[in-house]
Amino acid sequence: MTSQITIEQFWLLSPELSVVLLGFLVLGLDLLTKRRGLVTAVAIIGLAVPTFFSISLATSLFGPRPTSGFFGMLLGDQYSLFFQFLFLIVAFGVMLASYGYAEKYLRVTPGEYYSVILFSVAGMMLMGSTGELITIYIALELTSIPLYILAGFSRTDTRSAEAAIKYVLLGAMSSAILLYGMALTYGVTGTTDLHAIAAVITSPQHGILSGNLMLLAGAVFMFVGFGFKISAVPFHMWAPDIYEGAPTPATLFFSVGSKAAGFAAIMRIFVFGGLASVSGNYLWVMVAIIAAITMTLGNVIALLQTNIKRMMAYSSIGQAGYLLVGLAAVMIHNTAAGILGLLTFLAVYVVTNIGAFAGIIGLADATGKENIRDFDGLGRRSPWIAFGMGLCLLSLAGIPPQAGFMSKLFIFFAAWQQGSGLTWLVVLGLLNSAIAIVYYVNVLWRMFAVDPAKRDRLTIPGSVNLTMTLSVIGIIALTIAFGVLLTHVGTSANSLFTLH
Amino acid sequence: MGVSLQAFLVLGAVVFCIGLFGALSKRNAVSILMGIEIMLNAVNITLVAFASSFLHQQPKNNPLTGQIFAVFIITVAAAEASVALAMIIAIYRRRNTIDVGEINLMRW
Repeated sequence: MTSQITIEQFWLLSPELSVVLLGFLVLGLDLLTKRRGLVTAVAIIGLAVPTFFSISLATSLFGPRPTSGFFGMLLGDQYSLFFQFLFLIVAFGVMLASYGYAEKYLRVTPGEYYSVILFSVAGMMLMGSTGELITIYIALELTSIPLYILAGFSRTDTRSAEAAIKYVLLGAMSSAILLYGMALTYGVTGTTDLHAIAAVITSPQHGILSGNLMLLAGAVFMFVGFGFKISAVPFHMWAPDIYEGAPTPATLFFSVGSKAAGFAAIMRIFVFGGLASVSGNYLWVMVAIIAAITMTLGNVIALLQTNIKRMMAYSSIGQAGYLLVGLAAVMIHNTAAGILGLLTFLAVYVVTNIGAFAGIIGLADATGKENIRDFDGLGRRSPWIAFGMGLCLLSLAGIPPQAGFMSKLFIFFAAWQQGSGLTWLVVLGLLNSAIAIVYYVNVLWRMFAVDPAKRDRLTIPGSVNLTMTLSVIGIIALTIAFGVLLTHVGTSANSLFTLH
Repeated sequence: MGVSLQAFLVLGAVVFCIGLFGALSKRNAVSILMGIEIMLNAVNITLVAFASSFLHQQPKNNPLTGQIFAVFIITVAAAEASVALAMIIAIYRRRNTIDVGEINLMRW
């Protein structure tokens, strides 16, 4: 760690910095032009700049990449690069999918909408790449405040306003609990730097800390705070209402962005920061129990839903449960295999969820409806959207040989290897996967087997069709080249442990 | 010196619980927001108390960190409160109420 700010450190920050600048550019462009297409094109094509900077960091284009910057607040490891690329994909998918919908249903200038998304993405990228509690909190708020605004973006819709107020009140409460956990951790360890916290916790002369209740409370409060962001039961109750009330592209953003960012920060704090091993290394029991309740409740209640967005909300709660199974496995022995499973699952989840929501956005755009029964006969009314969405839903359900199946297999295998402590959790996870197939296949059956009341062809906007095509290509590529993904993600997973 | 660290920590914990109770039990959206602000201020008390206890301890703990953390929390809480108040005004215009018990178009 150097005690000076140099130009290389700004290179390390350049992806996030250029996303923020792009947000300001798009916001300013509103003053000059009224053409929606131009503003959208600038926002989407402008993502090439942060992508270039991330690639330059990944390939060490301008010399060796600094390992950390800004007094250890910013880390330049493979793990942060993985999340930079992941969130750039999220930004691209969300902005492309929302073009037609935003024009039709959100009566605001486009620059406002895209700049809010870009600011949030900058916060998400920072959540993966910071190594310090204060910065993690700032990044979390930079992510969350734009998300609250996005939930209430549809100003003519009362449900959207209701979703926004629920989200902002519960989100603020969860970050207050998170902050109390951070304050207690700071008090016990005397530092907010995660690397130093890990050193304090693991050093032998601080063995007295192993039973420290204040540190345990700090770790649990932090987990609760992030539990809200990843919608883990019992902190999930915001998710269905906000998913239903928010504009559909914003729902897509919540389901992929917020969840991945929450897991990025959890893994950073509990694995890199060593907080998983506080108090005799029994925190994994709590995570395992939460994982069991989360996936069971999410998958069972998803069966009962009639609104597709509520169904996807409970489905995403179930997916968070699978991810927590992987987290519990990691917390027992700090294995890189579990982190590998988690990162792979997140990458596949982002691509498939973008595809599934592209189908929902397409239907909502063309008909204004979003109930599961409105998908009747979509296979005839809009074959390509129905095919792509079906493929994504099958991957989410974990039907072999798709990428969704293989990434879930990796998580369960990592948990299975931890021995008898987690065997019950793996069995429960497999049972849940079987339940999940029912509600995913129900949508498929309606799309392809049920005769629709109306037989007219739907006019799906080109941007949604393009999003669907890209995510179908993405899923097929991930399925075929799953080994390539594993090699690249493997270095990211290992980098979380190398600094110790 | 006078007051010990424990006294401040207990104060912080009690204020945090008061805020949490207020945020969970009130039905008026503005009151909930006030409860959350009380929770954040309890965090600030805790942070500053820890920071001042590090002043006379081992030099490797930078006592400024906790104070800087508190300043950041105050700043970000202001931004969050402004967004929350804007949302409350938006819902009041549409529904003529800010009682969260009556804001129930969707199953809560």
